[in-house]
Amino acid sequence: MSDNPNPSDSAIEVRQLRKEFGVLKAVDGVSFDLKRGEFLSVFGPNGAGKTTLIKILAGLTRPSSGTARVAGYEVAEGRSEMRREIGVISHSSALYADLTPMENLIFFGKMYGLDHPKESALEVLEDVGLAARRHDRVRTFSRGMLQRLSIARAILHDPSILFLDEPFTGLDIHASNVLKEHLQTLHNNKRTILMTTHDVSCGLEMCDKVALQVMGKFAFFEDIKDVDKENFETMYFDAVRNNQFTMGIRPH
Amino acid sequence: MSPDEVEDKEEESNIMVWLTGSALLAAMIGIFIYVPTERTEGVIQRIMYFHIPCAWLSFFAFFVVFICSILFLWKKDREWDIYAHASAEIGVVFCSLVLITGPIWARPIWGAWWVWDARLTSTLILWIIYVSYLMLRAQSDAGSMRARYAAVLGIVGFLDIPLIHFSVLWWRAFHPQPKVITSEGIGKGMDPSMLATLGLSLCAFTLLYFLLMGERVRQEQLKDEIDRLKREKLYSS
Amino acid sequence: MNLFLSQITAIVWKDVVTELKTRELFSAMFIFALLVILIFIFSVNLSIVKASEVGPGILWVAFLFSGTLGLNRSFVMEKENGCLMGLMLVPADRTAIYFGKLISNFVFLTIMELFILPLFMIFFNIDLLEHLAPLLLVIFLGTLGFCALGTLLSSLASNLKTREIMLPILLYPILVPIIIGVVRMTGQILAGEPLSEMMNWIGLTASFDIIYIGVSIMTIDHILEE
Ligand SMILES: Nc1ncnc2c1ncn2[C@@H]1O[C@H](COP(=O)(O)OP(=O)(O)OP(=O)(O)O)[C@@H](O)[C@H]1O
Ligand SMILES: [Mg+2]
Repeated sequence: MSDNPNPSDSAIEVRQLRKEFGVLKAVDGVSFDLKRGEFLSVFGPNGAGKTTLIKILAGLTRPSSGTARVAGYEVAEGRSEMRREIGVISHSSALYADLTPMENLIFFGKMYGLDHPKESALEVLEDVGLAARRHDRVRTFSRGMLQRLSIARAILHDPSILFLDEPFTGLDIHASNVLKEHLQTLHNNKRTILMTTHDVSCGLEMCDKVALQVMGKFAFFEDIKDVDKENFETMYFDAVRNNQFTMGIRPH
Repeated sequence: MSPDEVEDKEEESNIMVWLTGSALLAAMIGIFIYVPTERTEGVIQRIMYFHIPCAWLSFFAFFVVFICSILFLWKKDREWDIYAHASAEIGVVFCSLVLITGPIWARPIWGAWWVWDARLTSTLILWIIYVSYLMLRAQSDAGSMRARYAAVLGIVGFLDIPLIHFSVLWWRAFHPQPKVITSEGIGKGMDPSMLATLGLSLCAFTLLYFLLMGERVRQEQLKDEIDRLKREKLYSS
Repeated sequence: MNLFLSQITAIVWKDVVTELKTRELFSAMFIFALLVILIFIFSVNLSIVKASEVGPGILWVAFLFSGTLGLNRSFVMEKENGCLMGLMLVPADRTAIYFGKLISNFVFLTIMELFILPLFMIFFNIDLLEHLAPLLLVIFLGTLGFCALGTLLSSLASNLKTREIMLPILLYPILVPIIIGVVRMTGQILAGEPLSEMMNWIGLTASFDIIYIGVSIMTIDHILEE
């Protein structure tokens, strides 16, 4: 994190980012900046393009046009230095079902080039409360345990930027409290976090910035200070309704 | 596309149709009327004027697939994907014609429908490779994934051709062949009129390739356009 | 460079550990190869044809078929739970992933082949021991070529709906040169010819290996992308 070529305080810089699947515009001209240490919550209806946005920022998909810089690196270049700076929790767990949590994390630790993969693995397993089950096969895990383990995988290499795609799905009350606390700690430690969620109260509670994505576009991107928390849901529905009727997909 | 462009394209393709048509007609006249019948092989030898151009064209078409595949991976432009696809289809058609005309000629001359001759075997393997290429395209949904995978196979397949050629050649060398007229023997002592007819036929078929290519590419572009309009309509309502 | 090598070893280590735990792949490959050999023994009349003439072909068909089984499995494992996406996220070159999978495929297939050879010796009553060194060289070259192209194409086929069907259809025609080469060489070796007699075949198989490792390095980026 110290050998960053571009020590500006922007962690994520997105300019006119677009991703098209044929005519379907999954991400449609999104621009925003996120400073180091900021926490952005992205809301939006199903199919709004939130996952696609995260995939582009994590370097998993190429954008159709526009630029995105993450941790000072252009994502389209696909640099491995950038991938070292980010951690991702997505819809799929990305864990080997026939290995144990310990083996999984040691494997990923080696892939990240950690000096002490074993110790780091144990540490994050303690953090997510799976240390007792560290020698069971992942195949036997419940949905929530898998989610905890994929959180462990994402924070294993202590990334400076975290992308969380609906991290609360499947977690029990206890685990989601643990995750919230953990996110709070990471936030306090100046980690940049971009999270998508359908849980409005939870998303608003923790973030510095709020975005609302509808049909690929950011209909809304504000500081949390300027957001009327009581009326957020009304605004959300209005934005969704307006966009669906007026924006549509226009011919180019 | 603007109406002007459409008109221009139509005019172009009209010229192309006439040109190809007359070249093919001339080639037919050459093959069936002008050229003398070969002394030893008889009338069946005339099939060579189809067989050789088809073989040449299928090879050329696969080469185009190779080049377009590289260009696609480099530029990531849908155009190149369309060209590669169209060329592979045409190549497979001509390759099939080679595999059909070959045995027809071989039956009276070699006394067997199929002989595991080096060239025939290579052609058969080539045919399978490009049929599998088309299958791969049919198996995956339209989009960048299909184009990328097809391009990789287009490159992998073409680079195999020299290896196949040598392996099959050496493979046959171990079994001495029965005394038959090898396909290498055809060019020997050819009458100038035969050479001229073959040249004419080659030209006509090459023109046919470009004509088919143009049509197929346009068809694919229109398909894209229709798909685009259809989905646009759907999403905006 | 150091990280590159340790990433490759990590992938191989992971595959080996998985295999040691599940023991699904190796036993399946071994039994399948054995069955292929048996079926061929039943379908050719060994009292008419000489064992040393049909033997090499049967041996390589068995290797080829059971190797395909292994290849199919290798990337399916990576697709489950989106593990491949996890691999895409780590700071590793795509070629490191390719080489990791190539080496683990190669290791599994080679071990299986070494187990099959003694059985082949007994079934066909051929003495392999006196030609062991050249035979191992041929097996090395052939298996490497098979795995080099097979790893590339199985990474591609794993994203298709019909991956189990498509992999052999894509793979076998392109493998033709190498199949002809290794079968010929094995036959000649069993007939007692020295390696210097088959330099052209060795050259052909080695070029195949080099060409397809090279092509894979250049194109794997385009396949391992969403
Ligand atoms: N590989 C793909 N091919 C074609 N269309 C795709 C692809 N991936 C996503 N899409 C489309 O892009 C749009 C945005 O999808 P995305 O997964 O980003 O939505 P999302 O905001 O994450 O939704 P959710 O809240 O349901 O997770 C959807 O309409 C989806 O159908
Ligand atoms: Mg999503």
